[in-house]
Amino acid sequence: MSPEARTGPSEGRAALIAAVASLTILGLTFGVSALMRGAGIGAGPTPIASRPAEPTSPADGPSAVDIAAGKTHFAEQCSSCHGDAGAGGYAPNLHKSPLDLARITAIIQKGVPGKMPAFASKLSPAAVSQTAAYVDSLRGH
Amino acid sequence: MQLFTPKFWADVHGGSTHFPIALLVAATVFDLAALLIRARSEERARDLQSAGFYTLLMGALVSFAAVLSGLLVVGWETLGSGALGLHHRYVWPAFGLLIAIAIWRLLVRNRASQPSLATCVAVEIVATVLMLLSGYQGGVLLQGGA
Repeated sequence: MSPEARTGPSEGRAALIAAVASLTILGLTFGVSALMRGAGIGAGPTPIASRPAEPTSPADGPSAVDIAAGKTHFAEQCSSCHGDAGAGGYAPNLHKSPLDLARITAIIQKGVPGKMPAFASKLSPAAVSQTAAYVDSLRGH
Repeated sequence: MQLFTPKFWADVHGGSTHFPIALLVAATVFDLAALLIRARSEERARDLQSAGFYTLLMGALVSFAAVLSGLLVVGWETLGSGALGLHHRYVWPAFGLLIAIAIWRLLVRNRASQPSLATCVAVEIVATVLMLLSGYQGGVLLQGGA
């Protein structure tokens, strides 16, 4: 069938359909995104209060093994925004971070609204602690 | 080891996001050229318009991959603040206009009048500018803007 032989809505009606379809797609995108964030699917935030409490700063401090494991988690979960060695990318340079280990751990768990997603749903409590230990080890380097 | 990490989606976003940008720019150029040369050659104008239509359609289709991968990188954050907020402020209107134009062109195909096509090209130009601004903000994000 040649394009000329096609029949369809008038230009005005087509414009209305296109506008409604476009707004619907945008609405669905925002709606699904809000649902995913709320459900903690993907890298979306998870209510931290519903998760078991965990130690954020062991008395004996993180071991070299923890830091090495944290480096692996960092490469998988964080480097896309913070750069391969935490030197910055989408997100700030972590070498210049003024935050302490407890604060780093909290941010990895809860995220920063509007800037960084929470990772409590993506990383186990141990992995969060290891990642925080690695990030903490970057400071000042 | 997880495969679908934010880094994976960032790589997918980086790879897919250039297609809708390039295809929208190309479609706008084709359609604008079709409008400008119509008085001299109706046949060439029709060919250019056809090229613009299919280029636009491809751009609209692949934009879904770019949008989905982008949302997965930032944990489904549709607004945000700083450079990410600016990136989103440009990308959503651009995405909406791109989809709307593609659907309109798909519905009217070759039955569109010249004034309607001229309006369509004007909207394409607006969408292109927004898309380029969004791409620029994406670059700012990559350079460490927050």
